[in-house]
Amino acid sequence: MARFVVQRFGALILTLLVASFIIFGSLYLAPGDPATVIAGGHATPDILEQVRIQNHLNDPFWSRYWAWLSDVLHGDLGESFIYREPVTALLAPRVGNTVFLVVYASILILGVGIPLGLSSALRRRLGSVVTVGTAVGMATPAFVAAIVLITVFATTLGWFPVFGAGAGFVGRLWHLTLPAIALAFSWVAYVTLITKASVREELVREHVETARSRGIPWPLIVRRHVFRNALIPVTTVAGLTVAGLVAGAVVVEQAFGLNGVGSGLVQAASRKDFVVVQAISLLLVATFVIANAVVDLVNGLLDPRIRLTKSR
Amino acid sequence: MATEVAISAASDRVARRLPRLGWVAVVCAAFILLLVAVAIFAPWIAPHDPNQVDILAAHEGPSAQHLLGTDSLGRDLLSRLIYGARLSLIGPALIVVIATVVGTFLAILSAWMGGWVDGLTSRVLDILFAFPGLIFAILAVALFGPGLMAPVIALSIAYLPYDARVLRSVALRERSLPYIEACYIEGLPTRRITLGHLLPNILPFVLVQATLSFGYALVDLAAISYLGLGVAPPTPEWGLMVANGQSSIISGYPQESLFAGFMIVATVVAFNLLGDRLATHFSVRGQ
Amino acid sequence: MTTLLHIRGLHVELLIDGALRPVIHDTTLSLDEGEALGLVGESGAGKSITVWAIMRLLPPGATVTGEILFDGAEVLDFDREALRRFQASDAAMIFQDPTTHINPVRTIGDFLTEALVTNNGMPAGEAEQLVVGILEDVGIGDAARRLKQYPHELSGGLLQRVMIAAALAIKPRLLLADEPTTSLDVTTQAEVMAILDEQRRQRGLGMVFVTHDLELAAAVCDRIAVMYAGFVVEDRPADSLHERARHPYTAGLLASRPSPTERARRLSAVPGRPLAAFEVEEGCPFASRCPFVEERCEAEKPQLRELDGGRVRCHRAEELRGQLTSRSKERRMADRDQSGVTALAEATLPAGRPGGDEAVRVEGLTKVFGGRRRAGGTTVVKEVSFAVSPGGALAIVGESGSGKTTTARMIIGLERPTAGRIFVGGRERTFGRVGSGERRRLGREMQIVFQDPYSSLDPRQRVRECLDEMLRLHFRLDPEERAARILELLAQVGLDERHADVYPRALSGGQQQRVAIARALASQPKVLILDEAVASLDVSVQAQVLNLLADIREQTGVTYLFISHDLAVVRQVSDDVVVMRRGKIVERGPTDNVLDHPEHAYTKALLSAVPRRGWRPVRSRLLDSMSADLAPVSREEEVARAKEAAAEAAEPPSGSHPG
Repeated sequence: MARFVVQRFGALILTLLVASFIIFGSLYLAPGDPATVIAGGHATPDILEQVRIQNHLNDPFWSRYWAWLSDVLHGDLGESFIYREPVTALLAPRVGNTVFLVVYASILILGVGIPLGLSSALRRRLGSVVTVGTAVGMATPAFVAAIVLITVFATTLGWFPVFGAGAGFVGRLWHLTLPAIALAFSWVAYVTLITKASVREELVREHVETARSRGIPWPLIVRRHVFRNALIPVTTVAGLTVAGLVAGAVVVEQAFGLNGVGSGLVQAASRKDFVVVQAISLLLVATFVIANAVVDLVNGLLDPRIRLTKSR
Repeated sequence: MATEVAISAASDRVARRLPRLGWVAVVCAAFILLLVAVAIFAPWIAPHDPNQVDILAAHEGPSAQHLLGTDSLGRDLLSRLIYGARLSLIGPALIVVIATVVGTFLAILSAWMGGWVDGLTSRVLDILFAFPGLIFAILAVALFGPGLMAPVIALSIAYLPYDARVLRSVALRERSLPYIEACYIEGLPTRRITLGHLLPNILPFVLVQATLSFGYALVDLAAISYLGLGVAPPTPEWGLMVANGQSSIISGYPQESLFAGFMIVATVVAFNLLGDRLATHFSVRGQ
Repeated sequence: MTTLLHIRGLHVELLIDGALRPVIHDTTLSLDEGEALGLVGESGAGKSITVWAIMRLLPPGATVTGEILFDGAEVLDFDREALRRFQASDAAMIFQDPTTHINPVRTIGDFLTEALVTNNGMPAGEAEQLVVGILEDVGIGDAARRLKQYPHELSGGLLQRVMIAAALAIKPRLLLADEPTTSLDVTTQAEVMAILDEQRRQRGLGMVFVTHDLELAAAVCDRIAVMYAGFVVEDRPADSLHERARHPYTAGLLASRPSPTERARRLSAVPGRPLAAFEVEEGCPFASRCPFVEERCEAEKPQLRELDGGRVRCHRAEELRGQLTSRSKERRMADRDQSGVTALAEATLPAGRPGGDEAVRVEGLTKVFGGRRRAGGTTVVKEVSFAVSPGGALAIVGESGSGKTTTARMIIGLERPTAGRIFVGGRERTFGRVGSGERRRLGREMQIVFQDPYSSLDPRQRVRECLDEMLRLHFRLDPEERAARILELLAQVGLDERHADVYPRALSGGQQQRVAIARALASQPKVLILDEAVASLDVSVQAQVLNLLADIREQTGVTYLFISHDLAVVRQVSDDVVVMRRGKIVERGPTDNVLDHPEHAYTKALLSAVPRRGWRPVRSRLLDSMSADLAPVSREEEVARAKEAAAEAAEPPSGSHPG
């Protein structure tokens, strides 16, 4: 088991390093020289020189990478060209909103998706309604869900505000409900589908047959043999879903005019503020990778077949 | 022995049929083909010029003149949707083609050669898994500017590991079957085995993967356009139209966003359902 | 003697591919208290379905008509509570594959005590005590430790004992065993059957024992019922089965099974293939395959009626009396003079000099999986050496994990040996980068037929295309010559033009295997390796293919290298044999010598474990000490053996299909 953990951890570090390298190196892929890219394409030679010095662009490649990486690990994400402020300062107020949003959406996804999947696997009629629902749900991008929600609940019914993240816990809760639903929408469908499929598959497994042949009451069989086994692949999916929310948050924040890390990324990209784009990309990718690794680890711990491997 | 033959032939009238595809798949396929036709023949089908502005006719509801109404600049929505099909479909198509062709190639390569080739490919793909498609696309846009090509290439790269992983496990499973081993032992050249035997048997799965990926690609690309990082206005494109129409929603004119959104959802549903049905159909090998 | 179980006129239809199809027609059986009934048949017979119907475990959508009376009560009418009581304490089922039938994420202890705790309300501690006792009865020592283990930590044989223990724990009156030993090695099978038999008799339990192995059933059961295409065709006491079988199918089954004690000149095969219940039309279900068929048989369905101490479903049973069994006796004349080309016994190998005469020769062949030999890898094949003369037939016999399949795969070139040398036709085989030219050359020397016929053919290629491809690869013929040759090949394996233009899935298992043999013969190889080539076939079909292989050898003088776990098949087919265990050869010599006078303890154990007439499974302490079951296995060894076993076990042997 220890070997399993160490292996995964090693893979995680490697992936993070290579990913950071790719993000760092992408600067050099763009047309034009790095300084121009950072300056967003239009700048005088003086400014360009400033940029070069600030970003150590005159140093050899590897020391630049190393400098950049150690800066990042120390919490310095560089400086925005457009705002002339440290990226960390720009992000600080935004992180709270994004985290709130993602957590809110996660709760919705797991709280609705898993139970819905479970019960639709066990009940035939609910099952077919859910099948249609999941097909549509999975096909609905977050931004389409957003505008439908805005149209119906914000504009027409006026129950929720149209944009902004609000202040204070309750304020945020109210403001972020529609965005959270929009973000969660297609993922709920996905988790429901996977849960349903997993439970369905488990229901016809041979060991369930054995339990039936012993006369064990059906509700007990479902609880002891079906749910637990079915949940193993579901926890994987659920974990990956949460990890994947980082990408969806980008769109939703933009759609609802929220001040979050994701919308920061979009705005920086459209203004060609490369340093910010780079920093946020790194942040999001790292979050994604770490979340995936944690899920993988937890999954390994849950399954006795992996947990009990004796290593010599 | 002759009697054995005669008798065995007589008692072997069992036809083993593959399950039928089902009406759902057929409807979806028909819808998709219709959409493609509409996209190709847009200039002949669209009632109006999609870019023709007419401020006086802004925000009109459905009418004889404008079957689906108009947008905030008075442009005919139906025509814009029809022309929008072109860009909205071509992008995902490119992504799917690139990702599945390269993915299939890598899958067969890994499955056939095994060893360090497989290990290396898997490591590289593992790294690519780290990048959610959208983030990668945004990064590409920041580097190369908005448009269609940068996101398409970025998304192709981001989707590659998913396709390659699925296809690799299919290819591995197929490759370890005795009939491939028999070909090897007979002395068939590698190219003939991989292209003539292995590839045809994994093609159904490639098709399924491509169909399912199309849906994801469409969603991601539409999202890029929605964010203003894809095609530029006034080009008609469904994601862009959703964004354009958003400000009109508050004023009570949700048509543009809703219709465009509906097209996206309907198309993706069609591809997802079709892919799902194909997957079920192909997973029964008829034994 | 009270009647414990009485089934009358049972008719079952299952939902297959969206349509309701019959899987059991009229089945009538009865079982007394403490009696064991063997339910025997090939694929499609309906035997497993019968037992599932008794337990009310059929899938949704199934329709069942008829009567199933347990102790006088109609099982099919049981309400939920009555059914629960029936399943919880009256009847217990033992399933075929214990590895899938036990929940992998719960402990063995949980599995064993679950029914007791939830149904009988027994406190957990008491349940555990009870269960520990039963585990000891079934020969699992160290029971307390076992309770905490998970299923994947135990071998198949151990798990099956656990399954039996769980069944015994609820103190049922009826045991239903559905092919419980089909997926086990033959020595493990004998051991498990001995335990099951002993425990059942001790506790006075009734049992319905489903199997495709007629001899096994005859050994442990009091009565045998033979099923074919959803009908019971014969039903009689086990001890009179061999002498007084009255149905042509029963006689056919008995005769087509090779025996480990003597070789038949030619197996009396039943032509055709076993039919499924829904394929049967009017008349006798067996009519299409019966050597004694008359017009009446095809028009009118015979009824099950009493005859000579049993029941039989055949119009001509009385007149055929006596003809059936004596005919099979005739076939079974051991004829040593005609045992084919005599092969060289494996004597001393001249060191270093490849024998120019030999078709195949291996020296010191070794294979280590996962790591270097010295440090932690598992040796799956160790220092194996033997030779086969041209035209001879050598069998490599062993159970799972013996290394026999890996050895064959090294010889054919699918695995690379860690050490040792292989000579084919006098030339040494090289490994490493083998170009297709060299592979093609070797393809004219040696070919292989695999165990699972369906997956050894490209499903996207018609038979004709497959054979054509091989011919084009090896020979320069023009299209007409190729077409003619294809027909010749098909004829050689007992097929004809009709079979050429179809896809493999349209053919039965036996026909697919014939196609695989035809493909192997296309390049006119000098050596044919048959890797468990008949293990997946129904018994009657197996006999056909064994006869075919014998004919081919006679016609072409090809050399056979026969890999098998089945000693009876080995006796039938080979001149020489090599017995492998855990990677090493433990005994070798001419087949008749080795099987008549085995010297090594393992060979003796193997022989004593094969079910045959007059045989009984015996619990042997000898086996206990030698079996891998009880010794703790390291993960690496497990993995390596699993690889070896997986390479062999593509599909369980015939009869494990539902019904």
